[in-house]
Amino acid sequence: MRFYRILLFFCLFTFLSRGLLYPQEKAFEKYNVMLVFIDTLRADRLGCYGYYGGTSPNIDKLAGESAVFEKNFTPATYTLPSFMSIITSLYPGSHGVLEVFKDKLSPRVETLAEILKVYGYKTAWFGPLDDPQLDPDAGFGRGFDDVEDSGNDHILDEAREKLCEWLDKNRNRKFFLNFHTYKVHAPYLPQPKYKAKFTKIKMIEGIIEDKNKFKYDFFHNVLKKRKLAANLMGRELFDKFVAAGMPGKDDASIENFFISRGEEGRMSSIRETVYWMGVNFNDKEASAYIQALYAADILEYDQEVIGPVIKKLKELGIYNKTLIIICSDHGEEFYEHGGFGHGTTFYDEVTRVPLIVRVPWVKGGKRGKEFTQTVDIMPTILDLLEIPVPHQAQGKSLAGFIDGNKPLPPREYVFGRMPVLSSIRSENWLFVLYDGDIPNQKYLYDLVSDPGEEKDVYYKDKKTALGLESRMKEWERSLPSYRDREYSFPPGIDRKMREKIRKTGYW
Amino acid sequence: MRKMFLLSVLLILLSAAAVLFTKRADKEGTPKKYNVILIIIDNLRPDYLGCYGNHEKLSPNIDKFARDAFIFENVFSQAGYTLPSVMSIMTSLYPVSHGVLDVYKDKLSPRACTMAEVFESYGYKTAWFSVLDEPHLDIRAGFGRGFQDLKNLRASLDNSGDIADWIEENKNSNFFLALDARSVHDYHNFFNEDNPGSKNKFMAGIEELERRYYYRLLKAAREGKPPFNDPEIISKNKELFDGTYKEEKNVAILDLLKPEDRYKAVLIRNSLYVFFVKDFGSKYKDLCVESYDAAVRYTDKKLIGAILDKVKQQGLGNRTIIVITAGHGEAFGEHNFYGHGVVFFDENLHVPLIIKMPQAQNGKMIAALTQGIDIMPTILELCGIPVPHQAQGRSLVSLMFDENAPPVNEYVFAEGGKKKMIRSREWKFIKDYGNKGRDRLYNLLSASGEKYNVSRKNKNVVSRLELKIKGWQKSLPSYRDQEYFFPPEIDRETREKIRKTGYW
Repeated sequence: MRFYRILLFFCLFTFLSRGLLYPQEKAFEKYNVMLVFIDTLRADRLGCYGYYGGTSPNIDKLAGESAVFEKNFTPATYTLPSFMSIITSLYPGSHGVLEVFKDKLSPRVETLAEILKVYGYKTAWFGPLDDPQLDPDAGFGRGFDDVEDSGNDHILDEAREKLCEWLDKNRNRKFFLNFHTYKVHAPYLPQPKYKAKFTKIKMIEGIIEDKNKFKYDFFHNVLKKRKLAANLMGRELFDKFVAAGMPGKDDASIENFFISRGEEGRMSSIRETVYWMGVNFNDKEASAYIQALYAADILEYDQEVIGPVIKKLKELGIYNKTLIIICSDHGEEFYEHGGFGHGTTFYDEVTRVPLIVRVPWVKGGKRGKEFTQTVDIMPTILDLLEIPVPHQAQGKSLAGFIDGNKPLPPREYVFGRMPVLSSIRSENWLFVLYDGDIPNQKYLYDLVSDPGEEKDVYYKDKKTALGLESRMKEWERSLPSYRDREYSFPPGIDRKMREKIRKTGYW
Repeated sequence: MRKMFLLSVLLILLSAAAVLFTKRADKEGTPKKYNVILIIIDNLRPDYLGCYGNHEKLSPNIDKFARDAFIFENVFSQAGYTLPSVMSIMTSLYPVSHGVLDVYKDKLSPRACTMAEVFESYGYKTAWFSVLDEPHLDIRAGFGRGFQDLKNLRASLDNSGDIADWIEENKNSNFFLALDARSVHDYHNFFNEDNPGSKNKFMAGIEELERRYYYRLLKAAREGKPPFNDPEIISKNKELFDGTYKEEKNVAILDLLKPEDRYKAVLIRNSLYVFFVKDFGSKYKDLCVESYDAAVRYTDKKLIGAILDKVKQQGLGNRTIIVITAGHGEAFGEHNFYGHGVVFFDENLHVPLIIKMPQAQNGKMIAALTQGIDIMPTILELCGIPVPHQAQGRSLVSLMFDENAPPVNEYVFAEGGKKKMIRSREWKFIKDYGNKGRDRLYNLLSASGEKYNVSRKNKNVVSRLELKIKGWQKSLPSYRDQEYFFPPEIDRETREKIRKTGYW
């Protein structure tokens, strides 16, 4: 009897001590991560952010089960630095990947995929392989086991099939999936059935709705206006262009001309400018039409990717084992401030982007009403998975808010940084510093009396501007640079040569 | 009473389960202070080892050792020659990432870390044994990084006792001991003692090779071409170029050159060596295989046997992980190729990998596809040390301890020259970026294997694998402090000037 009792206590002890000594499974041992990049998605065009056009039934449904961050801002408004900030949790000035074909992420920086790979995740990147803004070579492909081409930017079937196939194959393992397409990016080429939901107009002259035409229209039509072409290309390049006898040649050799000179980036930006120049924003009909096309593109993405993929996850029985994060790199301007496209301003319509974090073990419905920035995404994912966040991270983890009762980490300002532009935005003010061809231009907007950011009040309230500027400068100075400068000057290079190299502006 | 008994039984069962689970958690949990011995036997083909199914009993010590170890059946190295492939093992980076491809020229960037540096930072005592002045294992190229003790291990292994001494000296500290043995690589030195004529044949070949080499150098110098650029140097050192072979002469010739030009002389010699090996190998294939056998037998006895005995004798067996692998394989005319180099046949890339855990009893054969860069993450995870983010390989620990673990790699990759290789279980595709239309596809499951290029018949497979190679290529960062940082504005002349400093 006594023996049994001792035995019983002994067994109980062993059993309990196991629970004490070896805590439960960590989240990274169990949960998958799916990070969806929707390029050029304005927060205010989604139903879950208060848009009534019906652009996003599936995303809205997902948002109902998720934490939605209402005031989420991106620190840069074009693809390359913005997505780079998401995967590294570094502000653009820190990661230094600002120019296509020139900058690459330093190997000293850890990317999200690299960290997850070390923790045993099977990692896959789905993105365009040949796009300079999202070149896996620039650092986006780092840490991925599979780097897949998400196919033709504006047709989603292929990319979705690939994605589902990959999910099928990896259903039984822990995975990290990063999916991106340019579907919502200009030119907007929605399928007719989606387009019909937003506009009755068939077409408007000037707005290109044919992918091939978008590609080569510039070379065959715009080039006829020489002055414009020279402006877009830059005088020097244009002279070379003419000297090489390019005008009037076939598409392939024109493309070759740009590529052989390392000017693919310029070529694609010219194409985009030309696209936008076809839209007459002074014409209300045209302006509404282009926005309808944009809305239709969002709906198409929602219906053709988000819906089917969630269905697939449910079919495979891994929906409740998968973190889903939807985010974007920047919004889009529709002439709210006399401009179009993105990448040149810091107005709210380009900086405010959606952030939807669906965590399976949390009942959704939370809405973050304080400032967040896209650099928070990486620390949040790692924190949710109980993986230590690397010291490099400049964002803050939102995990405490998402799966606990903690408030959002306090943030007085959100910042933005691009090559010639920087910005600081508080609850009430937006300050922008432009230091490009006209140096030291400053703009200040009072967001209380002027939420549309229409009136520059810099000269009226210099004191506020000065305060914000010094705060911004302080922030900029506090960031380390992970750009590989100096570093790689070997001892054999003398000072003169260093100067020469530095003058090129890359070091 | 009866109730009590049943309850006890139930609880015993529960606690047994608990203990089982604890054991499992223990495997993956907190850091353990294991020692690690990493043995790289250059040029060792797995199919010459008994534990991989060879019947000639060339390697009794390795076979005995492998009985309760984890044997990986399908391991492929990242390149067909020593410099990049061993560097890949030590850094878990693909060759294009670590960028150490040419002897006397490339150095590992300080931005990349090596396995030894990781161990060192965790307080391990580290040591590296290899031929220290061998250009393919040049400690200046980065092989010495992170090692506190750098010791020479001659290709003849006559000083292999030093390793045992080192182990005994450091038995009380935690250590990471890595070594690269060149004995199997230089198997031409192991001639059959009964047939002394074989040695003469080989030496005659080497003499011929060296004569051609000197002739090439002379000719280039007279024309004012690199590596010497200047005929005077040669006229001053006539005795080095008289056409008779001596190993010391090669060293002396290299010493005449500026450090940044040495690799060019080595490239000339290597290009001749490829023809020599082919010539010699096809003429005397049996002789080659014989001496290779002898080299394996010798290494097994002299090196592996000695180390294993020492570990056992010092009582380190219960806290030492021992790993045996190779940098690359060797071809004996299976596909009309002899020796090794920038080639992608399985006999050149297929290497052994045997991992023995302390107190291991449950060794097994693991058939999953794995590669050289997986070794570093595996060893680090086994020691409970976090893997650095640079690692491009994957830990194989799940394959070792989990029966149902999903495969770690779907494909393995290798590269060399302008060629890239991708290999799955079924296909091997070699993309040649130097020559258009020279891509090769082999169906490894078919009877003809790597004999026939089937790329024309399988266009779909080719395009799929091509895309895979492209994606893989694009996902790799370069740790090479070279080219990479030249912005377009730096003109060619300046680039040359910068490069001449020898750092790029």
